[in-house]
This record gives sequence, structure tokens and C-alpha cells, in this order.
Amino acid sequence: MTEVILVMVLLILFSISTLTLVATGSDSYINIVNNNENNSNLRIAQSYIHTKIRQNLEKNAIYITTFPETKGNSLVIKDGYSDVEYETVIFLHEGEIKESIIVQGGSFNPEASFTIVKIDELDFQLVDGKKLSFETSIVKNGKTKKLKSYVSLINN
Amino acid sequence: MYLPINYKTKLQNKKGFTIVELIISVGTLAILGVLILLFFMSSKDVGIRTEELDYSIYQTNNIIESIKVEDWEKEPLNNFNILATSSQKTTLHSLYDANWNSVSQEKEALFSTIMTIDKSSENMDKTLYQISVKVVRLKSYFRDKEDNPLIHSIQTNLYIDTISEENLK
Repeated sequence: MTEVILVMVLLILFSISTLTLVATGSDSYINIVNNNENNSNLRIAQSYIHTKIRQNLEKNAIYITTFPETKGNSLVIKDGYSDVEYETVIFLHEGEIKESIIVQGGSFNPEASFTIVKIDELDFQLVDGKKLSFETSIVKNGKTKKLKSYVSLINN
Repeated sequence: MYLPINYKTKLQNKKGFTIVELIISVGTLAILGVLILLFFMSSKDVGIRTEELDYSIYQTNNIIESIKVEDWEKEPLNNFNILATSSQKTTLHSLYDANWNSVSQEKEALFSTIMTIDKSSENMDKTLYQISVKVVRLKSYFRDKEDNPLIHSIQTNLYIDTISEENLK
């Protein structure tokens, strides 16, 4: 009888250990994947804005504005093709960084845009008119992850 | 009821797993568990290293961009303290905690940013500087024996207005 009880106890221990191992492993894996995805999204957002600014670092070509249709500040980059002036607007809308290209002076519609990456917060600031700062954030489980960058507008 | 002889023998055999077999199984499971946990801990460590490298790259780039526009009174340049200075070369450092907030005491810090400003040549009010910025972790990584590992370093030459001692203070 004692032997049977011992065997049962060992089997139960075996089952509990296996279940705990599977549950812990699964949780860890989910956390690692989510964390990597958040880091990747933050990095993509930063790289995208950096590249856009670097491509158009010309005098009075970059400015910050607000649109009633979007949350927070938006970055506007002026550019011209074949004598037509265009504006590229980079903004946050419904948890996504979006890019919209409009003819200068034309109407802005956040729905008519390309999605770049999913992100929770985006903020642009112009520091003393010579340094552009932009901050991207992701909020997950009450924790905020932020990446902040500065770009000197020394040629601007 | 007719049953084959082999099957009857199997039914009569009441012998199950022995205690040794069970202990070996539990032991194997324990070893596998430890290996799987080590794998997850290593994956987490890689994630931490990647994140810290990201922040370090942005931190060093932000420092260089701020020097370009001589924004000495705002972050991140206002967090630096002078470690050593001479007429040619100045070494400064700043400390950050695990969340990359600036801290003043080393015991609260996890990262140290060390900047070296080396004067190359002076021409009127402009000077060519060789600037190097590196980010060092003040604690070792998981299963890594290296003390104060270097996370990222960057070197650049900047031709800017001559940096005064007031700026560096």
C-alpha cells in the first residue's frame, strides 16, 4: 500500500512539474516575443523619422504643427516634385504612426495615409529652433518604454 | 473466453514502474526543466542587451547632435561632470539608472557615459574637435564575467565654435 501511495505521489509530482514547466516556458516566451516586438516598433519609428528628416534637411523645410484631426504634434516636411510643392505629414493616429502626402495648402485627412508602425505615443518638440526632439513611447502592462532622439537642424 | 497465452500472462503481471524508473524520469524532467529555464534566461538576457544597445546608440547620437548645436545647458549635455581636464583634452562622464534617468551617485547608477573632447586644431573662433562617447554598463551581464562591459562607442570630428570652460561646467 505504501508503495502505491509513493508511486502516486511521484506521478502527481511529475505531472505538476511538467505543467509548471510548460506554463512558465510559455509565459516567458510570450514576454520575450512581446518585448522584442515593442523594442522593434520603437526602433522602426525612430529610424523612419530620422531618415525622413535627414533626407529633407533643408532651410525651412521641416516644421511642427497640430491638426485638429490628430492627437499631439505632427511633423511636416516640405518637398517639391515637378514644380508642385508637397508636404509629408508624419503624425500619430489611432495608435499608429502614419504618413500622409498632401499638396501644399491642400486639405489634410488622416484616413488617407500610410501606416508606418504601431506605437502608443509620439511627440515632436523644437528646442530653441535649432534642435528637433522626437520621442516615441509604448505602454504595456502599465510600463512605458521610451526612446528619445535629437536631430540638429543646423542646416535648416 | 478465449485469450492468447501472451495476453493472459500480461494481465496476470501486476508489476508496474519501479521506484528507480520513476526517480530517473523525475530526474530527467528536472534536468530538462533547468535547461529550458536557462534557455529562457539567456533569451531574456539577449533582449536586455539589445534594448540597452538601442538606448546607448540613441544616447550617444543625442550627445553628438546636442554638441553640434552647442546645447550645453539642456539634457543630455547638462548631466556631464568633468573627470579630467587639460588644455588639449577633457574627459567628462554622466551616470544613468536602469531606466536611463540621470543620477548623481554611482551606487544608484547602472550606466556610465564617458565623453572625451580632444582639441585637434583651432582656427579663429572655430575649432576642430575629436569627440568620443562611450556607454559602459557598471554591472556585469547574466553569466558574463566581464566587469563594466562596453555597450557602445562612437567617435566623430566636429568643427564647431570653440568650447569654453563655462560650457563644460
